[in-house]
Amino acid sequence: MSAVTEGVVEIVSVSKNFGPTIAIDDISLTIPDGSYCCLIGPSGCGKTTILRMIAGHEETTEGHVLIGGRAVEGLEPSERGTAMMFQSYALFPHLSVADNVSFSLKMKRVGKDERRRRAMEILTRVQMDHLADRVPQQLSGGQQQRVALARALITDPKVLLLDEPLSALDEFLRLQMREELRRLQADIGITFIHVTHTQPEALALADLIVVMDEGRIDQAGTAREIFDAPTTSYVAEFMGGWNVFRGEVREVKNGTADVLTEAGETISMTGTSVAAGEHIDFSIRRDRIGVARSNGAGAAVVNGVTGVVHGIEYQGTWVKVTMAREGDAGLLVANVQEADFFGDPVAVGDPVKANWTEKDIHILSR
Amino acid sequence: MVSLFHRFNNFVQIAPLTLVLAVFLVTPMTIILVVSFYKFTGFLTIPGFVLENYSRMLGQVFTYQNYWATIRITGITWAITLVLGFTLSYFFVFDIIALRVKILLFLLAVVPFWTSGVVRMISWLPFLGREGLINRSIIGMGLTDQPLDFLLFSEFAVILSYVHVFTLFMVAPLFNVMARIDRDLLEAARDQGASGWQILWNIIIPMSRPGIAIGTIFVVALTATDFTAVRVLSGGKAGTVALTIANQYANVQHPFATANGIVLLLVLLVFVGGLMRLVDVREQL
Amino acid sequence: MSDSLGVLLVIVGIVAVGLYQLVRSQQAQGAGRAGSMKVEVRRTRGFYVRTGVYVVFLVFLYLPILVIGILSFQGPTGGLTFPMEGWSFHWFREVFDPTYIGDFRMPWVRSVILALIVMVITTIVSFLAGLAYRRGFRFSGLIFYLVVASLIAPPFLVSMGIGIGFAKLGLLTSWWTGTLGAHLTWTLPFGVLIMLAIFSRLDRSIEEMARDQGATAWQSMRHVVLPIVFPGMIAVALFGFTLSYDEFPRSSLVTGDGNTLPVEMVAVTGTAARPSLYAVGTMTTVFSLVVIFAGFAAVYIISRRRAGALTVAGSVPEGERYGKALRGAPEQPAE
Repeated sequence: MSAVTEGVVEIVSVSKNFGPTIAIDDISLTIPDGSYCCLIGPSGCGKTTILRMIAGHEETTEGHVLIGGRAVEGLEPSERGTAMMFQSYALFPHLSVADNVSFSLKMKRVGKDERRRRAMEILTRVQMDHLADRVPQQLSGGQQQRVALARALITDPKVLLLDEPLSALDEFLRLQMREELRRLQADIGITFIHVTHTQPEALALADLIVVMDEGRIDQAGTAREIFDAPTTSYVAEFMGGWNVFRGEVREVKNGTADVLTEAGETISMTGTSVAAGEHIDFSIRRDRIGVARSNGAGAAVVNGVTGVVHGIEYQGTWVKVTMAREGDAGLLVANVQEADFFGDPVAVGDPVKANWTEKDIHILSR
Repeated sequence: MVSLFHRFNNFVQIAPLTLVLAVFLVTPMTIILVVSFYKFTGFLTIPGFVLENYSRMLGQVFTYQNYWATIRITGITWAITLVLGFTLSYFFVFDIIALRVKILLFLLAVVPFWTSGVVRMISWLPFLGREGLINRSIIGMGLTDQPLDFLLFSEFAVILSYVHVFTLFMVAPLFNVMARIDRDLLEAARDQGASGWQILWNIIIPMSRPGIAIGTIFVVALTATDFTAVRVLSGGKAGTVALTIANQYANVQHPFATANGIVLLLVLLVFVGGLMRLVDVREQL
Repeated sequence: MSDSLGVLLVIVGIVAVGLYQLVRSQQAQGAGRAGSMKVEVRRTRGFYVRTGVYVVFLVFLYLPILVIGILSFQGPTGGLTFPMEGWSFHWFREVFDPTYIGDFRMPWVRSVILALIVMVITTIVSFLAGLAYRRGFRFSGLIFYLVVASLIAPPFLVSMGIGIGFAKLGLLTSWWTGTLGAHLTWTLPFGVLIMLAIFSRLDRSIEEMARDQGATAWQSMRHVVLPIVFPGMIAVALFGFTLSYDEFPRSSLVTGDGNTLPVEMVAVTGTAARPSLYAVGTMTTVFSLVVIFAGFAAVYIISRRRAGALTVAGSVPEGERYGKALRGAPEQPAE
């Protein structure tokens, strides 16, 4: 086992029950050494539970966790080569910043001077050395977070576990810290496992994104894979940026398939090799949809839908056009380029048709 | 005009409390202070201003013996209630998870404290005497031949009674403070490699300091100023300051009793004041 | 070994085992919840030690009271300690039909009436003081220190001072004047501190919202503040009653001719203690327990009616923590 793979985290057929509740349902995952991994999902999906099981604050009900090739069952959190950064930061209010950071050293009975030296060293790294003698209550949220980070890093972990580290920060600080985290990870080179429920965050930071739902992994892959090629409708809807349709193929004629969606409308699509009677879930990216005025209702479209403009939101470089599909079939969202929109701006209530090309039809597995 | 109404309102609201404290606390204490300077002829108390009550008292060895006994009894009681109270508090806060059980067990331990302290003190009598329950049991079981004398009419009995009656005053503030400790902090400490004892020593105890301070203030104030248990359970043998004051008053030696009382009060205030300086008590509300 | 001891030990044993089982059942449940995080409990050796301490403590607390409870039923020829010379209600009868010194009936009546008066006064005064502190006033710090001083002041000195003071004024102290004042110096600190704690947790914006909706100050008080604070006031009332009912040292010198029950009991203990003293002790303990139970029941019923969280007077509602940063922001779907 070489030093290079010390930070590999392997989760093998892990399940976790809390009494009758199944929190984690037979999950397997390998997180490569030195990668930045984001676990993303809604509240209660189990992402934090996984993090805590890697950390050792929770034990698995079934299955194994291996860190650096070594099974870590029964090992104390401090013996696993991991360090955790808590969502609430969990800084000790009765200790100064420096004492907070050097706490782990004190537990190992390191001498006072040595503790101070190493604390200052790591505080300098996170640019908090000038506040070393303050108490956590005197710090801002962002400052507290850096201290919590320093405290975790001082233990020289192979894997850093972050539980929603940016959730408590305001927007501006969040973006700033995001960059810093990325840079830090590249700098130090250890594995980061970062739990979040914010999609842009995961996309920006991660080498590996793991999308979870109800104790299971829906999809794991690179950011581009997750965003551009979601395998399930859940992933597509959760990560955002897609319109998802579910339905059944009614008829196939001359390469054009008529799909009756759950919402009751019929969408004609080309370029797909489906047979009649098949269930089909597919999605279209919001920014791949063109919106144009239609000159009346009922005109049949291929690779598109018709309807009426429901809402318009200006977002600077693009305009979010929400369309009420015909026959009360629900809403379609199109992100239209600014220039395109203002070429012929539509207003709420205007009848429009939305179009896409056949290569933008993305088939989902379920 | 609005502020005048509010000022009047405020005044009306705080007046009753102020009035009661002024009439029944401040005035009596002032009277005590004044009387402590009165002259005592051996029979009568004569208004005046003399310092000999104090000088006499401070010159007697007996006084210091009293204080030593008081400090000893109070100190031992404090130590026992602290350890016991802390353990019980820890038990309620960290060992019991389910809220219902927590409340039940807490109430079970607390309810006795809402019954009469006098009754509870008296209830030790059938236990501790020569013919008492404990002695009869151990003799009956063959552990000793002679009854244990020290059980009753001793400092032991007094301390036992104090612990019995006052432990709650240590448990309550400790429970209050400990319950507010963020569990994340304990986990973070564990994450940092702290063992159970290290967590206790480095996190829980320091963060419980305000509770310890308040509990200490209560226990010390109640114990150092009590004379009933001393009289009943030690047969007057444990010579504490409070007992001496009570005796002096009973002997109509008012200037001595009051002078003694003022000194005790001052010592207590200094102690409490010092503690309150170490800990911001108001915050605990 | 008397058989009464055997009975006692059996009772204690049953209770102890019952409690232990109750606590052990925690373990069978496995995990509990702490806030939103699921927390697992690790049953270390320390847990069993602490449980043991708790059980021993309970026995320590209840055993003496149980003993005098049993001894209250002492036979007519029996003495103050074991053995039991038969079982009888003799001593209970003597309480109600005393032939010797130590008549407990009037003292009990005085104690109850006095406790009721103290209860009412304490509740009202503490409530007003709580309001005053809420808004803040000059000398608030001084008054606060006076309140604390009242708590720690040697009660015997207070009694002495009041006694001498009354004498100087030529008044006779009695149970409803000097003693009343003495009791208040003990109950008011508790009441005020509790009210301060409760008011400090009362969100100001609730009142502001009421005013926004057009309520006058009085209406806001009656319909918003009072209902929320009411359970706490019951707690204060309970404190006021029981603290006064059981109070001894402060009362000892100022009851004049008419003793309160605790004063009478101590007087009898010192001189002519008989098992009737135990009988009184048992009865007054039962009385106290009934009062406490009624108080808790009142709080419980009111809280249930509110369909709010159940809190116990003096304890901390779950969920209050120090040192917590903001909890997470709501989900943001990507565009």
